[in-house]
Amino acid sequence: MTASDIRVGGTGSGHEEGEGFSPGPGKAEEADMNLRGIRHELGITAELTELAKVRHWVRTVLCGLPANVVSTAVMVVDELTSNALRHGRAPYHVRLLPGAAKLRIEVDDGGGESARRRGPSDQGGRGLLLVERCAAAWGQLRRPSGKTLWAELATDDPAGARG
Amino acid sequence: MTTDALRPRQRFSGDGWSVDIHEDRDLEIHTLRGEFDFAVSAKLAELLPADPGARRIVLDMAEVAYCDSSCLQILLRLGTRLREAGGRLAVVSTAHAVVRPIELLGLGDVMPLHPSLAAARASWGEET
Repeated sequence: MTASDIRVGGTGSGHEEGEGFSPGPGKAEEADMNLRGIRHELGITAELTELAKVRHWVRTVLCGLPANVVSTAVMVVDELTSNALRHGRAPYHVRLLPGAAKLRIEVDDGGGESARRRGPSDQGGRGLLLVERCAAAWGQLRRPSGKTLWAELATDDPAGARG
Repeated sequence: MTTDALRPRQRFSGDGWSVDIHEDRDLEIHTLRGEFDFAVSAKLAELLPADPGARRIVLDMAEVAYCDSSCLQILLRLGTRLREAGGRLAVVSTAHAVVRPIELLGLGDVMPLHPSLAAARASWGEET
């Protein structure tokens, strides 16, 4: 998969107007039902301590999904957010867009330069490789005010989620 | 295994993570606990030996709840340096958050995974 924008269809894109509300506390089945088709968004600052908060938020929002899907989502969101904080610019937004059989993850930053998968070095470089290896698809969108890195995870197929 | 051998020699910790270093016979055991992300990786690099020589180091990561690519990079560098100097590195964990990224990135050669300390010792041809 290359770092180009491949739309695989689905409900929200994150660039349309969304309700942005969260499901209230309820039973797991209700949470699972409520999860689908709702756009969840979190704005963060440039502080690296935000990463732990973002992971906690992902675990909370996705609590109705299988544990292996949640832990993969946590990893992908964390790596995309780290990448944005390291190489991008404020403002930063993280979105979770659960669909019928997949979860779309989007991370916006205000930087104009395209993200690229760097060669592994002492400084890092394996974050986007990790995203590439566990996402069904991933890529980036250039916007006038910055860019969006996105990834889609299969949520219906245990083999696809490779838990 | 005696109680003395398990006494922590050094302890480092931060917000949501800790690293204990102690010796167990001829091994140096680094016990990592909690969540290791990009906010922690610079500190992790500081507290691991930059020039480990031919030591044998076990990273006990059984209680690691998260480990990102930047922290894996630091641990991989330790493994590479140990290997170059004739030392050994092993990772002990069955935690999904540790096993999954190591497998996805194909780092098992430099960071071999074992389910227990005994299994790590056995892989080095030692009696447990």
